[in-house]
Amino acid sequence: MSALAHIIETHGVATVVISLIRLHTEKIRPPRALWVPFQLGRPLGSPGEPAFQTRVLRRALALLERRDGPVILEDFAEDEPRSADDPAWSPPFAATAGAVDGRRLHRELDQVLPAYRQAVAARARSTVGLAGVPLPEAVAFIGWLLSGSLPVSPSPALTAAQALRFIADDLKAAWTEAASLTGKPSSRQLADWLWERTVLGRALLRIRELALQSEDSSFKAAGGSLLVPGARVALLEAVNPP
Amino acid sequence: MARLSDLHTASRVRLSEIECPSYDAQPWVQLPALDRSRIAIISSAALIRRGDPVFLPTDTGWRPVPHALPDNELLLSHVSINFDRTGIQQDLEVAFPRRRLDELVERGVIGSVGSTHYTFMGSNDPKLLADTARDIAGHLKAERIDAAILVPV
Repeated sequence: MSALAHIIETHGVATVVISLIRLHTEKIRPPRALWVPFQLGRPLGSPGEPAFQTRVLRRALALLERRDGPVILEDFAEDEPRSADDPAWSPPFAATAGAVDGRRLHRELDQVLPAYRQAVAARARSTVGLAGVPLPEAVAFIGWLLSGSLPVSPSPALTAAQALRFIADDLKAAWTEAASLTGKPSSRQLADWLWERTVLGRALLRIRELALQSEDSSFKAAGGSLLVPGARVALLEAVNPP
Repeated sequence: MARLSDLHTASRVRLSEIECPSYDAQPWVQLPALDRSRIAIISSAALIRRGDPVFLPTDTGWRPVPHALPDNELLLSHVSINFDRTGIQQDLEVAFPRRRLDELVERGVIGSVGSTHYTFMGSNDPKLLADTARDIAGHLKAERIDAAILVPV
């Protein structure tokens, strides 16, 4: 963002950057930046906290009135209000033990759907829809993948490898949108729940293993690096070194 | 937190070693008064309108986002899975603060909000995004935007 700010300001439009990686901002030196100590993906802090979001935004916009440029980098001192776990939060359904297969994943979808539909109604939005594939078909696609091969793409706009990536995004989004409907779970709580306690999480971890062993380069690339976040892989490898 | 020391080793090393461009000149445009200024958002979240093609990994282009487009019409197609998405899933304002800007107009803090915002995919090499930056700057000027707030993910 800092490099773009540099170019845009050169073309005559004032800019202010919200910075998540202070090191990059220090190196690139955009005209104005506010570094925020929030996790990547949350530049204005926490969801559902409009007063806090406004404080961040006002601090950033206030830099536009300063006259002590040409390089201003300030820090936002407060942490986001929802960074801590919510002890009262509980997931929308009980975990399913046992082997991971397509049948269990369909059953879990049936458990997710009521909460997911409630969440969509409550928020009047959903982030599900990247692959353009209905959730039952998306789950069927993942079920096929558990057999170790990449099936035909269910989306005419995407290759099978691209479909894998965006279907996984859609399913993760549906699960976590449902799970975050009640309480104020932290991102860590939602991630731990998804990867440790759901069939979907275990299925995606299994598909990643299969992809890394596959000789199909597109499956290997998409399944190996675009399903499971690096932080989760690092956690798992700390327990079970590869 | 996004302090580098809080990230896991692979992310910390990768982010620390990213080559950052340097510039000979230091641009500075002085904004006369915030409460008379027109503001637009530039987001690196690779947002797409529901049903539009997703941003694919090497896509260095940009897309306009109408200010009035309902939240439910916006999806996050960024290639990286290494940032938190659960915040945006619950509340788009956490990364694309259109309503917060509207509120600041109502309170008289800023003058107005642009009718169009801009989005691109931020994981690409900044050098490959120079044309995108120049294109967006041209549109901002044409739409009489006084200042842009650049919001990463």
